[in-house]
Amino acid sequence: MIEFFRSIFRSIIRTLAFPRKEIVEVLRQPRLVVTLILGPFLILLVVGLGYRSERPPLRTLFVMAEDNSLKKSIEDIVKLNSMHLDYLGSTSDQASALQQLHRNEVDLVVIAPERPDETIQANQQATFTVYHREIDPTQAAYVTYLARAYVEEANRELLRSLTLQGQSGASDVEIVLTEARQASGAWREAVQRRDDSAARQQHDKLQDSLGQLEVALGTSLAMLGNLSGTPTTSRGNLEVLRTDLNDLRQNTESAAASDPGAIDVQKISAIEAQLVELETTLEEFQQLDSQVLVSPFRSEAKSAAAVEPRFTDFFAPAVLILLLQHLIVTFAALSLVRDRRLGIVEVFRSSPVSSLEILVGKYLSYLLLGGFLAALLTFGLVYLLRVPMLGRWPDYIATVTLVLFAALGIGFVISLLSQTDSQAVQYSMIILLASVFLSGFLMNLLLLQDWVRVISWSLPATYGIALLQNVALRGEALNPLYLAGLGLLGVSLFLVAYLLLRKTLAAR
Amino acid sequence: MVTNTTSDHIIIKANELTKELGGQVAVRDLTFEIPRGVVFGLIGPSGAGKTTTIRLLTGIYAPTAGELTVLGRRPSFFTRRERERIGYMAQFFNLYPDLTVWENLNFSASLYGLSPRRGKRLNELLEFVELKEHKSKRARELSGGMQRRLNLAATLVHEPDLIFLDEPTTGLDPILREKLWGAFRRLRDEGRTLLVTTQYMGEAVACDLIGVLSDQRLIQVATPQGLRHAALGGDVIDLVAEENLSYQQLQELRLLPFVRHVARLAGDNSVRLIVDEAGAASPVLSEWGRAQQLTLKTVEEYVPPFDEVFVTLIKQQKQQEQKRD
Repeated sequence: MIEFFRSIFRSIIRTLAFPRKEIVEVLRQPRLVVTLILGPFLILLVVGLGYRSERPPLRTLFVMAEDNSLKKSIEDIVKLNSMHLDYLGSTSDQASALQQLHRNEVDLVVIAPERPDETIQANQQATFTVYHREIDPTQAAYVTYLARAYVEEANRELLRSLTLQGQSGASDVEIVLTEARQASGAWREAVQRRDDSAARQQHDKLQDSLGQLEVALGTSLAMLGNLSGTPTTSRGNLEVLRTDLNDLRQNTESAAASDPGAIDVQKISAIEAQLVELETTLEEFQQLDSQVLVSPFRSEAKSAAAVEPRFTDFFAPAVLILLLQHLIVTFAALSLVRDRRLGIVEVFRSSPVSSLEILVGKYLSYLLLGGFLAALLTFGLVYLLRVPMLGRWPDYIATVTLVLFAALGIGFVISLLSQTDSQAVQYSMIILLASVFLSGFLMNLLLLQDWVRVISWSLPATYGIALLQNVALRGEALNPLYLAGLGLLGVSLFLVAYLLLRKTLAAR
Repeated sequence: MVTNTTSDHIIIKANELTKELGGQVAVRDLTFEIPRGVVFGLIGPSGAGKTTTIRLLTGIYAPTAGELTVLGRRPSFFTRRERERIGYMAQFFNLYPDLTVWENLNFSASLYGLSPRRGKRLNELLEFVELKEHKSKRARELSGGMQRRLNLAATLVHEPDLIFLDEPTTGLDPILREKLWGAFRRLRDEGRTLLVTTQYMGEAVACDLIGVLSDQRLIQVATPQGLRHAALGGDVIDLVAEENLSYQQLQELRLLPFVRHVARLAGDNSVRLIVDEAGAASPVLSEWGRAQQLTLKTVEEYVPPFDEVFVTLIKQQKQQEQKRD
């Protein structure tokens, strides 16, 4: 029993030989330590301070004739969009404009339709052609989006102008409606006086007014009713207007079918009341804002998250994870290669130290070192860059620890497969590149094909970024699935590294 | 304190031991035994197979063929207990250059599971290898000789019974080499067994037993004296007279029972004799001179340098191989 405990004690001594040795070796290189701690923090700082969340406006040149009917509208719209477009003027020389684009003197050349009125009247869409010379797909997509937004704005402006004309036409309707209401009142009075001749005259006058009303109102309302974006309330008003007018005509016609002088006064009063209601409805229609009629909807996005992170806030956890993973993978990758280069593996082979003791010792070394590094970087992020930390610190620590554990596995596997330092560094760089592009750091994982996502989920950074962003920026608890995945990845890599080290140290 | 755990006094036993590396034979048919408590010198030119032999003995390499037991067990299957009884110093400096002398030694002590209260032991060792005043220096700042001594200290830190030293004196100045051999003898005197490889033939004289490796074969295992005998056929005596020695006198010398070979030296008045044993032969030769009425200037044993012994052995080996072919 004593021998057993002595053996355990010796095993602990052998294992703990590594943390002390590895940490002393690293700390003995102060320049390396400064680079490790200050370097990543400065990168974050530069990205945070130097990032512009809005793109600079694109220098835009229009190609259109001086007499183009849209020139004024185009200029007005561009001025409204000065945040996105920097209007450099217009020219009628398309070739010269395109040369300026190739010389990078302008960012966009927009060819306006030559005769937009005629094209639209011919029942065809008039086309704005936008030329650019972007090779960055993201920037090219932005230009396409901007062109679409600009044309939609132009369309809206045209519709608003037509709507204003419609509302102006409604004033004429109002005069006719007043005449109709006066005729109905005179008709009612004639009936009450039993003046058949006057009753018939006023009835005919009312019929005439209603005819005019139908024509005037119908034209304006038909146009407005066909507007795709007419709001529900406006549409409701229009329907009421239409229905009321139809009812009125039917009532008047039915009254006219008999003797207009013998008609019930109640019926004429009802017609009169209907005309008053019609007047009220028309007033409501006139008061509607043309802007609302043309663009009835607008969007307003509000975050349900506890905080709305800045650009730096969002990327800080991801950068932290990526940096830690890269540093630890590189450290571990160089560790055993270096031991081999120095001939120390030969000492391990002939001494009683086991593969498990070496590996556990080295894992402990770099977990301590990585933890220390993570603590300093986190302090800088939270207290200097003011990155929010909404979640629980134990969750944060657990995530970082598991990422370090899994990253060490990758590093040691690389170390055991590499023959030289440069080979180990190259493999580490490949892991870094894969992590930058496939871990969700640069692009959302949903944009990747399923089979590529298999690679993504083989990288500790993928789990780490998702977990840490949720913890720090959403204040959520750890996702158990991600946690288990990361743990499983770490354990699997540890086992692979252990088997490779055993093979390396076995008698050859 | 060295413990005796094997049943007999043979600590290493190799029989027809062969190792191939990358399809090439690194050592072939090595057969030898090393008793406990000796300094065994493995001597041979570069590429002869010395390092491969040590790696086989320490369990770093597994033999391709043949049998090998060290401390009563096949080295490929050493347990932790056997490894704790072995010390191995590789041919090159293989400690951490950025750690200090003390830290390197401390790390080695930890690898062997030494108790944390090891300060006294480490200080003793540093004194032993004369590095105590350099213990705060980083290993990279040490001279080559100091690095070798640090390596030696790291090898001895756990007080091993069996110590393998692969060319420990290579590149060192003669004074330092002599100091190290003094240290090896002291370790031997403590009861430890040392297997030391060297390219310096002159160091063979400091060994109790010598194995000569050439072309991946072990061509001789003997004491230094035995090696001379094997190379030259016996002890060597140089006889110089005032007068010239006649042909008749040379013939008479050849007929003496202890004389194996007679050859003239530079002049007609001197001869070199190979005899069974120099100590016994010298007085008889003096007596023979007086009987021949010769005035003998010297009758003394000639001790050939080991370089010469080694070269002779290699030549003999090659001649035998040619004869076999």
